Amino acid sequence: MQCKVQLIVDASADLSPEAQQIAVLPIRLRINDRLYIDDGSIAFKHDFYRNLWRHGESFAQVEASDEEEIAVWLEKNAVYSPYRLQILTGNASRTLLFEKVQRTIAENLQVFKRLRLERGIFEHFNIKALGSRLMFGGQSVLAREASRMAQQGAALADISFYLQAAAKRVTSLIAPGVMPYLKDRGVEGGYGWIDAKALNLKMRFPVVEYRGGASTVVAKEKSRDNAAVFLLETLHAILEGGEAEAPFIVLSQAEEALSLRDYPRFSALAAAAARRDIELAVTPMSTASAIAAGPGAVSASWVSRG
Amino acid sequence: MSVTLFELAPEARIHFTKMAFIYEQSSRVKLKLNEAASLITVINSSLEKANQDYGRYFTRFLQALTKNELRALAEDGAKVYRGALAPAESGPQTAAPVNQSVIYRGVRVEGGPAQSAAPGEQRQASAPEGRKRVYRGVILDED
Repeated sequence: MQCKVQLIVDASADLSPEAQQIAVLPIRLRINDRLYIDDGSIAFKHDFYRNLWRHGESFAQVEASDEEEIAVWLEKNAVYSPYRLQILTGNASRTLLFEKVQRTIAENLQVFKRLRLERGIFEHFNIKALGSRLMFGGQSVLAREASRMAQQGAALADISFYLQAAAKRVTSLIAPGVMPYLKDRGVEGGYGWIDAKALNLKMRFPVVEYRGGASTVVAKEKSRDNAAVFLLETLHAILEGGEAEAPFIVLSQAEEALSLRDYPRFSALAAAAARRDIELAVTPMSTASAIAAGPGAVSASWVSRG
Repeated sequence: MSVTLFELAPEARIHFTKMAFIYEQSSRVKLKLNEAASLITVINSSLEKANQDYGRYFTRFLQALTKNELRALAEDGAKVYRGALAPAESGPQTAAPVNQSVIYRGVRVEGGPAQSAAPGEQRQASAPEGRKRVYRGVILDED
């Protein structure tokens, strides 16, 4: 059956390389006064972690693409595709980008439909932008499941309902990276979407939980490694307790070389996920999340039951 | 050589389609956008009403065109001379005209040697046939 719906996420989602059916809208990164376009590819992430982003030395920030840039990307990548509907989901941390995407779609949808007709593609076509208040890999978890539903021929109404309902149940745990880096960023321009109150700098290595737009510190650890181990142990307990809903968990790490698999707890976690038919995706963290969470940060996102 | 819509850059396509919507609304004529003639019709209509509804899209449309595309559009009858007379990007260089007429601040300088433009002024070579006064891509009068 031909899939009629395609998911689009922006490059600030922690999308794993396996998620090939999902299109990625590029974002702009400014690193030490030079502008880069992050297309969400693994190659760019590797280059970012290896060459562009010197821990503690670089000042990096995400900039919203302008509306013409977004319109041109959509025209090139979405308008003439065989998909009848493109759903573009937005990350909570990229509010300005999401607003621009919404405006771009509102202003250009008729243009896109006309161009598609002029090209001789007569099937009905639409693009919708759905915002979700998600962090880190949460966007990726939802987009991957919605994409899987689309591949299996699910109706648009079912996919939309799933996206809206599941967004409220997505939980993310984050163990932020190097604390001095976060502290410096705090002085320069705020913590981005890491809540400054939650991230009390007296706690040297906190683990923060995000759910439903609220953040809570759930642990204080003495080292980054301890925080990562705590995160993996918590996730393991959640899996064993049957609190996570299939089919995806996304683990991401703000480093080029992913060391998460080397943690002693990882193999038990992977086994627990396999027993429950949950796919455990380990991926480099998106550049946008990494800039906010700091070098070496680790995050896990899943859909909770109930 | 004619240019059609889907040979242009995506940004040019988007701005042109917006201009075409305005044209269709005002003239109550439905266009086939991918025909070369539609491009010329909408461009010429846009130039006649340069500072009205089209203005927002027309400049950005022109900016998204290559010199070769501008040249091809001009040859097809579009009243666009911004860059259209520049040598073709990939074609052979044309020889400099021997008897050059120059428009300087809107006044035709007949047959004299090429004069350098004053600072801030762009010297504009005349079109090969006929006499035209051109201001910002708009033909003001034609002999």
